[in-house]
Amino acid sequence: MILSVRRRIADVARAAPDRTALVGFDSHLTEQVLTWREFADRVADAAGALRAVVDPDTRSCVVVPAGNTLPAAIGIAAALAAEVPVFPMNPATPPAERDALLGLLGRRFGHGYLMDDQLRPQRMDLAAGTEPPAGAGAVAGGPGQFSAVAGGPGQFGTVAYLLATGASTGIPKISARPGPLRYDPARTPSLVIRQTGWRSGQRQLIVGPLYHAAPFSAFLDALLDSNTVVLQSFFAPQWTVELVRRYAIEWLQLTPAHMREILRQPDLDPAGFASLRAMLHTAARCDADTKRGWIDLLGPERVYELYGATEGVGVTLVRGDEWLARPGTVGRGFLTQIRVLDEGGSPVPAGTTGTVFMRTPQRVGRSDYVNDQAIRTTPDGFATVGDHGRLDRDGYLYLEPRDHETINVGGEKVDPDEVEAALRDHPAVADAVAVAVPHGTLGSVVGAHVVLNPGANVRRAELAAHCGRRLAGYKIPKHFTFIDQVPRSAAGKVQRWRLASHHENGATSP
Amino acid sequence: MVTLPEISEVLSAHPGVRRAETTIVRHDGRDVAIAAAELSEYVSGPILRNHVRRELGEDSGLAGVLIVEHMPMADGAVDGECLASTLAEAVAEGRCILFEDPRDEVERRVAAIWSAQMDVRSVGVNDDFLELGGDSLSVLGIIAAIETEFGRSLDVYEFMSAASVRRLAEILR
Repeated sequence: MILSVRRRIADVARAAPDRTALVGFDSHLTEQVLTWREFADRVADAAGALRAVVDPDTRSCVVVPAGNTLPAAIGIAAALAAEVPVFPMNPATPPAERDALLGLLGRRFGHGYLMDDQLRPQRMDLAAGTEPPAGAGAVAGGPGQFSAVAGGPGQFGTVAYLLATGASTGIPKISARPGPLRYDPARTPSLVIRQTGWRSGQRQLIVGPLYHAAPFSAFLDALLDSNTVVLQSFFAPQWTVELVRRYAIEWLQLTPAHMREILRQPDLDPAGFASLRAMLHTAARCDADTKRGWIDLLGPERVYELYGATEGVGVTLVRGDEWLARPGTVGRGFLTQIRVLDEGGSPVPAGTTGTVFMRTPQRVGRSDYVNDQAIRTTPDGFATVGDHGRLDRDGYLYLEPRDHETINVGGEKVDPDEVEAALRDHPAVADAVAVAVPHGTLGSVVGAHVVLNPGANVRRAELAAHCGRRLAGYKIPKHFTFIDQVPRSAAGKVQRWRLASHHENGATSP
Repeated sequence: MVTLPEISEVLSAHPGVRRAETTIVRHDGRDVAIAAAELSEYVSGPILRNHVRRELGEDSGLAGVLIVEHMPMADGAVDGECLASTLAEAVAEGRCILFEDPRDEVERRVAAIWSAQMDVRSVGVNDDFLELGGDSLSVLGIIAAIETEFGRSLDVYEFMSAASVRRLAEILR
């Protein structure tokens, strides 16, 4: 029995009208609660308002400023219910990037509407977005800029939602998900998510922002699978811990950056997490210390990690106990076949590093190839987003750092994760990012951007000596820059490009 | 009796296939008909094989389809000799799965469950679940049916690790 979003929300509200659908917080952090009946009514009103203004003969989309607030959640649900393509946008997007994104939308949609905070759709000028700024312009015409996750030839005719991607590269891209979204009890949520302790009707805390892919899809699944959703309006680690305890949260999805900051909280009490059935982390590589910290906190059976490209090429899943047996793995393919190929396209033996290709049943036998230049495919249906890694004999995948993240010091490859972990090991250091700094003879050397703990003080020489006790000489940072905070994308991925421009501006100190 | 050109013709008419060629390969002391297919969009070997079996009958004799990047050509025509050796090599190395009937009762029952849950008529015991068109829905259906019929509960990982009727039957025996 496959249902429309509108019908599904109405059904859930009818079955359990007084159960809590949403908990949010206003700017004074006052709790706001909506029951399923109230939520369904608000969604129906907003969907009606949207349908009333949208011209059925013009390809239209609606932009929802998607902070983790009740209006944003209702706006997204209303657009899905009205079957108008929805673009959840970071409300804090800088003007230039915002213009670029709206310009991309303008290429595909004749009319754009902005859902205001009163849930009234306002006509907006997508053309005002004009072209992406310099830097993004170089690839602006490529299909990679605006890719269908799995769209057919008429892929932009029916779009359920659009998401901005490419945050870690600084070049705005939008990917479109074919629609309309439907509720299928056998497929909502997907089988892989159901393997991670997910329970229908559960209480879920959403920590990451709704304009990012992972929290957004967790919200859609929650919506269709009658969850109670608590929306954390901004990330503060002690608040996350408090919300989990106060609302007896059962399911939680975090990024490694969230995980790291939560672990840093003093007096972290495992009893405060007793209600959690699972914590799932996605989006970025997780360092081993952070992973172990969470396995210690929750026990290995409640820690899950998902590795999968946003483009839907395939996924791997690993539970904490499997990870302890094979530290560093991102798990086995889940309904996904994995092949590691060398540069000539031939399979490499287990244990050998190559390019990771994956194949999923969603793509088998379908005519709608992913229309993205960033994705390479093989004649027999395997695709890659370019990640490198190796498989062990039992099919567990281990990823290498992405090429653009590896720091090449005179031919020696340095994994920034290793340098960052060594730096974070110092008692004065709260966070760190390692980047390549151009060097006359070596090509590049390692530079470190370091965030100190409040009140802490440390000399650069001491940090270098500290690294020297843990790392080979070429891996020791040769430049240290103290910064207030690490620039991270919504997904928790370090935005190294923002730090790189730091250097160009001469902000670095040797 | 179905001829090799008839098989190639049916394959070539498939919307995902750019061109196809069928030949006889010696394997395990017998002659088997194997096709090579060059694709315009991805379709798996077992799905193409089943397409032929559906069009020409289960007894059409096509044992397997190998997906090739480019059909070997010589003088503007398919290089039959080169193709035959490519196919023989792929079969010998296990890169081209051959259709094989169940050899005992357990395999027969597992294959019947796959067939019903995936809505696929011909299930070879070595066919890969995903290549045969399996998805998250059929995983759940098969796991439930196996639990009912064999009284053995499987988790998704166990099922996926097995991936073929033969290996799944080994777990259940």
